[in-house]
Amino acid sequence: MGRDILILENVRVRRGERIVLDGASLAVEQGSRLVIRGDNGSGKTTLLQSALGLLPLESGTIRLDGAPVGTPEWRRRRPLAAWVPQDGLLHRFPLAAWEAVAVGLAGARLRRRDRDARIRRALEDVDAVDLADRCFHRLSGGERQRVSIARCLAQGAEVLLLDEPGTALDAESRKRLVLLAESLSDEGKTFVVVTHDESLFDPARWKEHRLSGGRLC
Amino acid sequence: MLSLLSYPPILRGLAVLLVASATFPVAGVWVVRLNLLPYRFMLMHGALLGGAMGLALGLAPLPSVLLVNLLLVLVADYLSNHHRLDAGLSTIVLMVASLGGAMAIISAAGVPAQDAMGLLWGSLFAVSPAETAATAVFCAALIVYARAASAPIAAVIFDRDVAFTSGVNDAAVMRSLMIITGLTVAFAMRIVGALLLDALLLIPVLIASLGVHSLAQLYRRSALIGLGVGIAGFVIALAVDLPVGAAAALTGAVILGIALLVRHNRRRKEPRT
Repeated sequence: MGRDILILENVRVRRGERIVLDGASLAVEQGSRLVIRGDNGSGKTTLLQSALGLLPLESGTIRLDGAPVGTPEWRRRRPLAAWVPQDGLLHRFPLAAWEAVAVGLAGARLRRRDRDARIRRALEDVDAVDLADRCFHRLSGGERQRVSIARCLAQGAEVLLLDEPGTALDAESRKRLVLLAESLSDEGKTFVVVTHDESLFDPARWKEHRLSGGRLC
Repeated sequence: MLSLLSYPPILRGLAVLLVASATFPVAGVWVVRLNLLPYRFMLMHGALLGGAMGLALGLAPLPSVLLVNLLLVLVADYLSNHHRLDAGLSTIVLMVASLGGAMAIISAAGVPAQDAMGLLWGSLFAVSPAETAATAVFCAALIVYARAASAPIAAVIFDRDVAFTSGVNDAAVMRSLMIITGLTVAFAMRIVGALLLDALLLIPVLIASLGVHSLAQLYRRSALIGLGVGIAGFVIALAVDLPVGAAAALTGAVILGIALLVRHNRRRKEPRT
């Protein structure tokens, strides 16, 4: 295990009138795998969005690879953390799977040849090369998860934040997702997963936290 | 009918229509996907205001339409980003104000009814050589931008938050797309009129999106269908003496209706899983 790549300290986040996170703290070691469980509405998505710098903090600090969120240094390192949103939140517009993977490289200046090579390598890493030309939104839930993880890998992310990845997956796809995450984690990638599902990700192999009352325990 | 092409205004109109109908659907893709429909409504009414200003001052309407739409986009963006005003609300306010302003100017300046109606259905054959050149330059710039910024645009189309986390300045991309959409609406108003510009902007995209599985394919097919709708509109307009905007809008609507029916029938025949 290495240093802490993602640190949340006493994070307080408000959404409208409601305080969703209230003093949430977390230190995520590089290469670790973490599952955060919580009921629906407990603030799991808010936690991930805050960690990614998508939501303003009322108080507290978040550091990615040592850089405080919002600073110019963090802006340069922002692609180190990648997000797989909850399935179903994304639109249904026509987009090929390879185009969805290319989204991870949209912020990078690459030659077309290099870009295509990174897309192909990422798809190979998740065993999804055969899906490249299919419409992303017509893939099965499990295939979409694999392509989304490929997007994160193409991006060069060190930390992958997955929001309710088990939603709408059958038993075989859930098993495959867990195996893929564990194998990538063994290769050094950091995983932070939020879910309300108590059976997804074995606590024997995943460090477990619980989000309740706006705090992590 | 071919003999009509020997008249410079008709030839110029055809040239402008061909270039615009193959290019504007690119902006239409952004309008459809990024839910810029409220902006489009605002811009249509902004085009009326700009057109009315041009007519009242006895000037070519295009510069004033471009100016008004550019200002509207910047004001809407400012209200939305600096005052957190809901985009739907701000565009409604600006839309109503634009329409009210247009009517007031038309009335106060005594703009002839025929000229005022021309704003609604366009005046393709009155396009000047300068406007033809401006349209061609704008279309070329639109294509260059769409290609150069294709990756950030695709990321924003996929999901703004995901685009942000991959290092894209999503707010800047959105602002650029809104400005280009504003200018596209301004040019389209001159060709097909404020009320019929969807014939060039949206209908080709809606038809194309029924049978594609990638964004690249959607851009290409939308442009081709746009070109087809433009040519068909032009031919029908000359054949039965209709405004080109009306003919193109009717052609596009008929094709879209047929495409929707075909898809509906296909789905009914597919076995239920």
